[in-house]
Amino acid sequence: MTKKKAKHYAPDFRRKYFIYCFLVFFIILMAGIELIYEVRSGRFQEQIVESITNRSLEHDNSLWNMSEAGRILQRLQKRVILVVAVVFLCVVASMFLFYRNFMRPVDEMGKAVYQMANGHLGAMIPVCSCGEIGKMGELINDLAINLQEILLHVWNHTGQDIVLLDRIVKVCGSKSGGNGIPDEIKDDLRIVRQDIEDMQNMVKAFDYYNVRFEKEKIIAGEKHNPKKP
Amino acid sequence: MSKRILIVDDSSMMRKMITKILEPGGHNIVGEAKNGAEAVELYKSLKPDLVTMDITMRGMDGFTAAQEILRYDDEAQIIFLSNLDEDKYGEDAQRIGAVGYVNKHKSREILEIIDNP
Repeated sequence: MTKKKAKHYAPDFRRKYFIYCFLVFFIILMAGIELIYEVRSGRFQEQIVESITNRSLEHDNSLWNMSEAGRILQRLQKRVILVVAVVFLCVVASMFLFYRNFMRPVDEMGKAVYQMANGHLGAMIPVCSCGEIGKMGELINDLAINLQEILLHVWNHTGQDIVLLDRIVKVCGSKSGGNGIPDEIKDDLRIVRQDIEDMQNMVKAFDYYNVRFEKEKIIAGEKHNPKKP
Repeated sequence: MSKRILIVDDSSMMRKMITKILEPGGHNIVGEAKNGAEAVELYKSLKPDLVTMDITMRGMDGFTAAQEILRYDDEAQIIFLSNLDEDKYGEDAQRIGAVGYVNKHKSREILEIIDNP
């Protein structure tokens, strides 16, 4: 049986949001068009005029002015068009505000967190607001900064440990005519050294913010060039 | 002698660690900044006796912040505390006018520099 590898993609909130917006606009637009079409249709007008005429026959016919009824109908038509347009604009405005204040920062956060989860610790969430989303972004950035700090700390300590280990082997090996370290201990030291190197390789597997490794040393990136005083 | 110290580091964990080293040594942490710009502002308002400064930070980096602080107060005492290679950046720190450079994995050495300037 072959194993299927699960694929992970960066979260794409924007695409889902735009599909949702399109559906909402489409429903509102269709409902509005249907309402306007119904009010403007001759059948609707005829039904109202017929209803008014029937009622007026029951009472005093002379009191009813049919042109007045037509004007009321026209006013109703205009009002329906206006209400539909206002509702549509309000929905568009609220969706735009929702997108700008919520969806866009969440989408940017999702993409940056995806980068961080894949070991790119230099990826930062742009913090452009003081609201809850901005605060969350700042806290996630802090997590990445702390993780970078821990990993660089591990790098420096392990680098120092390798130097010490090599010195121990050299000093002990040179004593007693080169037979200073028993074979079992030699094997143990070799395993310890290998473990330390594995740890260093793990640290090297990450991408860091403005820091790179050069000949086992940590060097600042392009942004740090102290100007001569 | 107890000193009023400003800690500048973008990592909250590192700021805590430095505080834990300095406070038992009798020093008083008067402020913490997470980037160079904040450090310059805090230095001007708090006037600390000493600043521990990281180099790699988002926004204004440690070297730029140290130069700004030294331009404001040429007697400012700044010790760089960084993960970067000491041989390469220690010289830069000295040239700028810092009183010392300590690698973060040997942060306890900072107490020696403070006590024996």
